Amino acid sequence: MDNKYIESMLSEMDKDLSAQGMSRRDAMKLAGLSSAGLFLGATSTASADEEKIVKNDAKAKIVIVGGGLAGISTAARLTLNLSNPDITIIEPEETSASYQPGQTLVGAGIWDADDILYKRDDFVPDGVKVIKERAILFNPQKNNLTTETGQVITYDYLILAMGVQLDFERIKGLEEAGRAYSSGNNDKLMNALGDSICSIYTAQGSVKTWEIMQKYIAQAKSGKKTKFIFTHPSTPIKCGGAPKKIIYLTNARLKEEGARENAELTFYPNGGAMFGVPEYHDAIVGQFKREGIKHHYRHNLIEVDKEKKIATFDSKWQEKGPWDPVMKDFEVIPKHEKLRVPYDFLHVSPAQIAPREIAESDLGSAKGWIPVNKETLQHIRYENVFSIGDVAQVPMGKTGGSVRKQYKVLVDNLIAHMNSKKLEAKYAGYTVCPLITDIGTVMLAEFDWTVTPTPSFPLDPTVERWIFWLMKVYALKPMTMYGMMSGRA
Amino acid sequence: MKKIVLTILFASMGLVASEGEVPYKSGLLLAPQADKIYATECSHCHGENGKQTNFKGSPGVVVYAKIAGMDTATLAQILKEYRGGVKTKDYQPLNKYGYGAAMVSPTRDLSWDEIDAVAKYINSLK
Amino acid sequence: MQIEFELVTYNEALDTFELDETMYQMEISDEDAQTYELLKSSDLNLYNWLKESEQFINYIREEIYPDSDKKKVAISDINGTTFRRFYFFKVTSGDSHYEYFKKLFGIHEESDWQDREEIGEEILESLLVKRQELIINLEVNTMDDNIDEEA
Repeated sequence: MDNKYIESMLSEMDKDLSAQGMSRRDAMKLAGLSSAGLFLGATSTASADEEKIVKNDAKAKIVIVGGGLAGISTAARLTLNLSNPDITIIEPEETSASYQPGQTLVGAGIWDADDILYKRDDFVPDGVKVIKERAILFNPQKNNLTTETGQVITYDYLILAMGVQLDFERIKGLEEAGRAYSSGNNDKLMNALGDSICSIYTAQGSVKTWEIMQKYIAQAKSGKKTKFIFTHPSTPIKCGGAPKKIIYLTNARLKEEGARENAELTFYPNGGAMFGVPEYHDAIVGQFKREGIKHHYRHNLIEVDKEKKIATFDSKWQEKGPWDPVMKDFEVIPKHEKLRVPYDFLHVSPAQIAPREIAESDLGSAKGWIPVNKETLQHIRYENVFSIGDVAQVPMGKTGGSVRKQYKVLVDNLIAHMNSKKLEAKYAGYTVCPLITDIGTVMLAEFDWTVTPTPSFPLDPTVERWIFWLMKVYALKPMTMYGMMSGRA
Repeated sequence: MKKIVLTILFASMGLVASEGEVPYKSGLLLAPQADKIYATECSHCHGENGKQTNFKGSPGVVVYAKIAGMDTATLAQILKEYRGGVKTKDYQPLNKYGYGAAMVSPTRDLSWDEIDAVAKYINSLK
Repeated sequence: MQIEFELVTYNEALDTFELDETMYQMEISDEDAQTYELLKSSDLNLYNWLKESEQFINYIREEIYPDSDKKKVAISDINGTTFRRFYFFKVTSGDSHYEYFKKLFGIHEESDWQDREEIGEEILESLLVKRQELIINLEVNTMDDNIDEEA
């Protein structure tokens, strides 16, 4: 069944391509480039439904804080759906429209830095105003906010899409790294991390990851035993699969170079499982075993000694405690101690937090994330405020795939509210993680709040497939950058 | 994390900017504005010019050295030690200079960059 | 049929529960027995049904705590279905109780990375609210009770 399905998908792709006068091979190559015009035609087939959009006449001033994938897609779809849109995006970073999902591929040398670099101003829809500053003070009772230059911006509706911050500074030894955003200048972070610690969580960092990875692969190839350590932090993160994807890719590159025997790969996640969905957890445990990748659950990275190249983990485990006669069950005593692990190559997936200016404002919450109704994406306290993407407190919602479902829900609900109607569109928690397990295979993990697999294709979702690799490397980016970012896909 | 306020004086030094004035808050990854940070966090105990050496708090008078003109690198190091780590659950800031309790709160939100900038600023105070 | 149940008493001032370690029995009608059969596999529905039952409340008032100062109680067991976890959960409780409450309160973080202490605290927060729904108030509001005691 698999081959037939692949064949039929490929032949569909070929049909569309030949209509554009393009060979499949060329299209695959072009898909990696940033030339917008060439691909617009082809991607209209990727975005299945070209809806007939009837514009809504309601008017209101809409301000979107954050010009990343979520903010721009939402602005675009609002522009498409309103006859008189008045939309402002507040975003200081020039390269905020960069394709973050590609950072894993850059980190393993499959794509280049240019393949993911996109400028905000190239993607902000026509008619949308841009304020190139940080919003730092929020006053939702008065419906306004203040930027870093003191400019006060009023709004009728506020959409919060500023994403997460990478909290490297909480690791002792990396305090000078501070906190970071994925895009933009991260020289300070690169200096603090040095030559053997890396992270694909920033665009600049993903390029450095490939450099450092090659260095240590060469070392392993030369016969020296080389230790590769990978972490997963104690906070929610965007792209829950990325900390593992980079392990698989390092593994693949080592095998390519014939250096795998001298390398020891170990994964130290903070949690007690590989994945929340049991089917995917089992699949990953099997893959790790097959590839000879070690793992130690419940280890949280708390310190690094860059000179001595030692990583310190807070290792937690549980011991059976005394019998509780009331609960008629044994108590469980959590224990922990510090474990020092020497490394040659350390890949850090950093702890992630909501930006402080929003976390500590009235719009934030105890944990920092923006408290919204997880289905309608409306703020729980302010009815003219919505949130989307990584910064919203939505279970399992921190992936590009989730944003793709969320932004349509948000736009429908916002327009309903503008027309004093009930908010009926609902996000169901769809999350997708194209888990790269090798160069050439991806396990497409899709799930929602039922915590069971919810595959879009009629195939066993726990099997790693080449077709999803193709999708990840060639189709997802144009679909995102030209389909979703224009408010259509 | 809301900071622990020592006196009412601190509470009045809010960050809400008056109309037209440029607001600044530490710990937000903005380019450091040492003078603003100093005014908000340091000046009520150390004085506008860094020369104040005592403070009448509770339970009694607290006495300390003059900080104006202190060496930048030393001062930055001390401030970073006072600040300690981000998650106090994992490690505690030092109190070796004896003023740990009082110094934790003002340094809590500062990034390393901001501490470096403030140290330089204090060094330049005459 | 007989329904066997156990109770806990609630100390409002201290916000604590105590086990009344007695197994009580109450006779219910055939019709009610049928309802019991339907509800017995859904613990919270079973609980609410019994809690709302006039017969049950009166039974407790008259037979179990007739003159006492115990004004608020809750049910800890019904025919073997236990509700103790609602009143006595603590961060050191066994994993099965965590799993139960995670499902009940919809607690799951990104990819389910769990830190026992944090999750435990989240559960306790949600429990504070939920337990109040389970408490049965035995006070009877009659005109006699409204005696103004202020001097």
